[in-house]
Amino acid sequence: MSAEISQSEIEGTVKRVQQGSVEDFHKLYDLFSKPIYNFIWRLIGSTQDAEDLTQETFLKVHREIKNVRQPGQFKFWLYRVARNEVYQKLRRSKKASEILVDSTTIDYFDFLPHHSPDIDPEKRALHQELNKIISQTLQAMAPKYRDVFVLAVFHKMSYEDITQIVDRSLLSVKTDIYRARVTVKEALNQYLKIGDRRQAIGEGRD
Amino acid sequence: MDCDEVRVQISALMDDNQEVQVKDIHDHLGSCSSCSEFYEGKLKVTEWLKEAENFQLEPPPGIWERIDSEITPKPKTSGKKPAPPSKK
Repeated sequence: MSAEISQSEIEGTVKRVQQGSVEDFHKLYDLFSKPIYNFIWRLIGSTQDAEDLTQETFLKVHREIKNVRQPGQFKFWLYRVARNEVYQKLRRSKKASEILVDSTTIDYFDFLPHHSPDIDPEKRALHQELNKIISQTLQAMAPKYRDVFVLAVFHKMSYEDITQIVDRSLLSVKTDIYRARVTVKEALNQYLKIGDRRQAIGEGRD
Repeated sequence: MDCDEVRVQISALMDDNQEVQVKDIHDHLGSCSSCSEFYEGKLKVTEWLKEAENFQLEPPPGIWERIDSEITPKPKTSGKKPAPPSKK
């Protein structure tokens, strides 16, 4: 559960972690574990990998936080660490180059068997379907589109903030988000058309 | 506006673009069933995307437990009270 806390409180917490406070590190974990877990999950498409990499990210952060010179920039640094962990994993498994775009051949997507039990079944099914399409589309995208799209759309980050994480120019970030958005919309559109066609065929049979 | 122009404008509208001629789109949709269908489809896609944007998973609780066990300093075993009673 992450309560909202101010930027100066985050800075104070980071400084205390730098001095060795485990309690304050727990505070940082409570604040950022959910966004980081979801960020990683969106990038990598698997909840199991997201779990492992979230753990790796926070362990690395704990090891290296003493080197952070500007505690006010902690959030950006944290996302950078998480992003690096993901891309290292992708490189190791060569997953990035092995992704198949054809949706019928992608069955690696594992989806919330036990999460979010309070969602009603219809909405749950819609979420499941939507996230499946989006995940497949994201996995098929070049990483440079994927990360900026996820940060902008799912984390509601400003383009300026995204440049701090991905270390690219504002123009490049803007263009890449636009291209990624078009790709995702196309995929959803395509799905919608297939759905309509299936429905029409179904209705025709009745 | 012809159908192509209207469709470009509809796409811009769905991307929250401020410079869209909403009235022109509306007028065209009233008389063009094909563009109306296009509009409905785009609307659905946008709604879906919004729906997906708000969806987040909860991280499994075991993550912190494992991190905590790695970062919490282990209690020193050499000291006053060596715990395990090897002899009774």
